[in-house]
This record gives sequence, C-alpha cells and structure tokens, in this order.
Amino acid sequence: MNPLAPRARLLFHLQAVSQLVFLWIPLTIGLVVAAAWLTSFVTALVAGSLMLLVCLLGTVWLPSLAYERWGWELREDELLVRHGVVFRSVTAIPIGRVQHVDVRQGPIEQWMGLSRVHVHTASGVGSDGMIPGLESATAERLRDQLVARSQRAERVSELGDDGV
Amino acid sequence: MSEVPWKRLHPASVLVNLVPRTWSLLRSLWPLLLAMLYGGRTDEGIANLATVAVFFAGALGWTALHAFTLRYRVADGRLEIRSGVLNRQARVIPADRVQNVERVQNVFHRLSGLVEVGIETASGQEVEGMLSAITVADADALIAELGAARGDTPAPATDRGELLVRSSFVDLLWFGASDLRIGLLAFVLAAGLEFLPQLTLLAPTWSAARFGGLVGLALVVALMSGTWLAGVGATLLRYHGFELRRTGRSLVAQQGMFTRRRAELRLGKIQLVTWFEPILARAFGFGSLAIETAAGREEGSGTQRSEAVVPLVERDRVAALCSVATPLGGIDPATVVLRAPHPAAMLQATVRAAVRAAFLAVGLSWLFWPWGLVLFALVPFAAILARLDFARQGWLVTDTLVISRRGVVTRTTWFLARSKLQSATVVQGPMMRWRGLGVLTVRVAGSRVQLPVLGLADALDLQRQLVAPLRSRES
Repeated sequence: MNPLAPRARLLFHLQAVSQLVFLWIPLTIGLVVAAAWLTSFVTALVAGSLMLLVCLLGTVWLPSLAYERWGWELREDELLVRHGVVFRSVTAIPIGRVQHVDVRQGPIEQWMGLSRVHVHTASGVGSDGMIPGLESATAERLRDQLVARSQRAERVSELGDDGV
Repeated sequence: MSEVPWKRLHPASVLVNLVPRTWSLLRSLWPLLLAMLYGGRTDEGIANLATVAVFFAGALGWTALHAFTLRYRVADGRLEIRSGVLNRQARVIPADRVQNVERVQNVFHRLSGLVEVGIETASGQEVEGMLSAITVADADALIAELGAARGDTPAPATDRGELLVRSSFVDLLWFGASDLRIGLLAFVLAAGLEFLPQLTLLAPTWSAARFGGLVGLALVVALMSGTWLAGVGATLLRYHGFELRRTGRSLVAQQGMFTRRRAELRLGKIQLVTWFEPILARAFGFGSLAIETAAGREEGSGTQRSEAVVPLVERDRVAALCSVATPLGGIDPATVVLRAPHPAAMLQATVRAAVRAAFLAVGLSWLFWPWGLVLFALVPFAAILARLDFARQGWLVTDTLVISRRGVVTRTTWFLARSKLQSATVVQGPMMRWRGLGVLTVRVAGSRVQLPVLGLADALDLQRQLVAPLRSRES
C-alpha cells in the first residue's frame, strides 16, 4: 500500500493540537465546572486533570500511529483504503462505482501543500473512501485517474449509466 | 434554452399544506413546548406564546413563499425545479436518475383535488423533487413525461398491473399488534412519570388517595395498553387498503386511509429487501417485507427507512415476493440455511452487551439511588439475550446475493443483490483484533448491511470476492 506524504505526520499532529485547544480543553473545563457543582471541587479537579492528561497523551501519541496506519492502493479495478488505530478498517471501492471525486484543502493543508481526496459512490454516506495528507499533485493525479477509469468502466457496466 | 413552459404549484397548496406544516412544526418544537409547560414559571405566558407565534408565522411565510415562487417543467429529458427569491435554487434531475416517485394525498389534498408528488434520486436523504401540491392531472402528466424521457413504454390507463399483495383488515391488525413500539412506550411512560409529580404537588391529598398502591399499578398497565392500542390504530390508518402491484418495470405500493400514499419503485433501482419477523409474528408464521431503493432514508429504524413496506407476508410467500425485487437464484428466504458467525465472536458480543447494561445500570442507580441498584439484574439478562442473538445470526454469499441475519426479539434478514454493491469495508475493533476477527459491511446506494462477525482472513477474502465479479464485468 502507498503511504501518505511524509509531511502528513506533521499535519496530523497540528490537527490534533488544534482539536486539543479548541475542543478538548474547553470541554474539560466545562465538565470540571459541572462536576464541581454536582460533587466537590477536588473530585472534579482530579477527574478533569486525568481527562486532560489522556487528551494530551492522545495528542502526542495517536497522530503518529494514525499516519503509520493510513495507506491506499489504486488497483486496476478497485481502490483500497486502509486506516484506523483503535478501530482499523480496509475499504474496497470498485472503480465503476465511483460517482465523483473531491480534492479538498483546509487552511493548514493549504499552508503545507497537502490535499485530501474524498471518493464518493452512490451509497449516500458522504465519502466512501477518504485519503488525507497527499501531495497536492498526487491528489489531483489520483482524482483524474479515478474519474477516467470510472467513466471507462461505466461503458461496460450492467447497471446502466448511473452506477446504481 | 428549452421552450417548454414552466408550471406552478396550485394556488390552494398554501392552505392545503397549512395543517401538515403546523403539525410537523409542533413535532419539531416539542423540546421548547415541553420546557414551557414544565418550566415552572407562570409569569411568562405571553412571552412563550409570542415565541411560538413567531415560529408559526415564519413557517407560514416560508410555505407561502415556496408555493408562489416554485416553478417546474420536464424538458430535454430532465425535471427542472426553480424556487426562492432571496436564496434561489435551480435543481435539475435527469429522468433516468429518478429512483422512485411517491404521490401523497391527505384529507385536505383529496378535498381540493390535489396531490403531493415526491421525486427521489439516489443522492441523499431528502426528497429531491418535492411538488406540494399540484392537480392530479398535472401529476399524471409529470410522471408520464418522466417515463417517456426514460424511454419507458407507458402502460394503458386501464392496466393496473399484476396484483402481488393485498392486505386485509385482519392482516393489518396482526401487523399492528405484533409491532412492539418500545420507543413510543418508553416516551409515554416517561411523560406519565413526569406528569405525576406535578399532579401530586397540585393536589397532594387527592392524588395520594387515587394513585397509591394497586391503583397506581393499574394506571401504569392502562398507560402501556393504551399506547399499544394507539400503535395498532395508527398502523390500521397508515396501511389501510394496502396493495402491491407490478406494472411493467415498476412496483407500485398504495396505502392509507386519511393520507393516501402511492409509491412507484423502479425494479431496476431496488437495492435491498429486508424481511422483518417480530417475535409475535414469527410465532404465527408471518413477517413484514421492506423494499428499499437508492433513495432509502437513513433516519428512522426498521421499516421506517423503506420506500415500500408489505405489512404482512406469510412465510411461504416470502420467496415469491422477494424474487420480484431481488435475484434470489433459487434460494427460499424462509428455509435457507445460513453460515454461522465465528465462534470466538460470542464472547465479544456477550461482554459488549453486559458492559452496556452495566453502564446503564450505574447511571440509573445514581439517579434513582438506592432502588436503581435493582437494575443491575439487567446485566445477566442482557448477556443472555446477546448469546441468544448470536446463536441466531447467520450469513451467506451466493453468486448473486448477500444475505445477513440477526435479532432475537425482531429477527431481521437482509437480501442484497451483489450487482448493487457500492463498497465493502472490513472493520476491526481492539477486542476483535485480539481474537483475529473482523466485521464486513457492504454498502449499496442508500443503505448498508453488516454481516455477522467473521475471522479476519475470511472477512478480507469475502471482501475480495464481492468486488471481484464487478472487476471481471468492468474490464
């Protein structure tokens, strides 16, 4: 399987830090205040500190693991995407089922010159396969390959021209 | 630019939609209404009424604006819908992307000779083309134009198609009686328990005399029975006169007493067929069949997600009905022998159920200390239920079909044509990784089916097999 771009490891860490600052810390503070009101301040402080410690460890440790676990492979007739640390998954998407492909960049990704690819089928769940942390040129090449192959596959598909 | 003229909604559609919109608004505002009712402050009546009035005025205004700005037409093989003033929307739906067409007539529609037409594609969870309301003649013309654009041969007007199922009053009674609505029951009981303290505060002597001991118990039983009867009644109204017919290349399902529904499902777009057997129904040899197209909804559970639900089907008729909608390849759904899940998954299922019940018991014990401790008796019960469920799980993959089954209280069997597969995912949680297990989830347009837990190698191999036939056809 192809790994993500080397800079994607830093991207994952930066995303984890921003989640920590904008989500987990405010959430922990809110829960400590609520717990202090329901129980005692000391109990709430201890519980909040433990929660913060877990979040910090997760911010330091999990992004690297997630980077190592993410992989993708474009085979002749299917796209394989593997990812996950605690819950690991492998998704196979037949090329002929690809409806459209998005290449997206958030602000951090733009700054780092990385993109993520979202592959959509007719399943209607959002994206069936997502590959983050690709070099922008790689992402666009993958998108073009997927679209071209899906159009070729559509011509011989038995399902009609909408893949459904 | 096409010269086909635009059509509009009927002017009476604002009034016709007023009551249903009001009802759906009330349902969406229930947290606010509940807070106002039990807020405890009696000096905010006018402010509360003003808040509700603002919401109603907004809903009425939006309904009127939508009705007067919406235009539609079928041109160049596409349905075009335009609406809005400040936020304008122009939607185009190619005729061959239409998954199913639903016609709904409530009492107000029928009185005014109108109908609500919903045109669904595979793209999402809402009705992409909602025309509420137009005349019956306009609706017939629209559906005929879409069919002509797809190249469908129109059936003669007198041809109602082949009758597949007609549900009698007794059938619907059985269906309603066997459909245990635990969620509704829990809500009613919770509302009752919330109401009782209020009554006790208002009239302590009167309520203590009347709701203590056996009288209180009888009240709970009456509440539960009333909820069950209301559910049966709602089922009779919703499925009154149910018929399933096959017309050319479509299945047509009609039902409803006060609100009449007619859903037309294109056979080639059927994604999933599900056979539901609630425990009471199973004991008497029947169940319900749900048919989903790519417009299947993600909200709701069980039969609520499907475009067409056959309320009551005898077990020996399931094969004949299923085969109309999906390629069974000679399999009889009622008697098919399925493969068992991996035996090591039983421990995982049992532990997961016990842990969930324990968490629930801990939370409820803290809320209802010390009587809540009794709820820890749920833990072994949940474990036993999980083992029973595991023993009844099964799966099978044939040349044409993927079958998955689970459930004890309501046994559910999914039938999915392999040719409809969109993607296949194998997932491993930490406990599964420890035992070398994995779960395969197969997605079709609008739905997904999860197989029972397998060995990881088997799950990955199955994933390859499911994708492989598509590979050989596409190359």
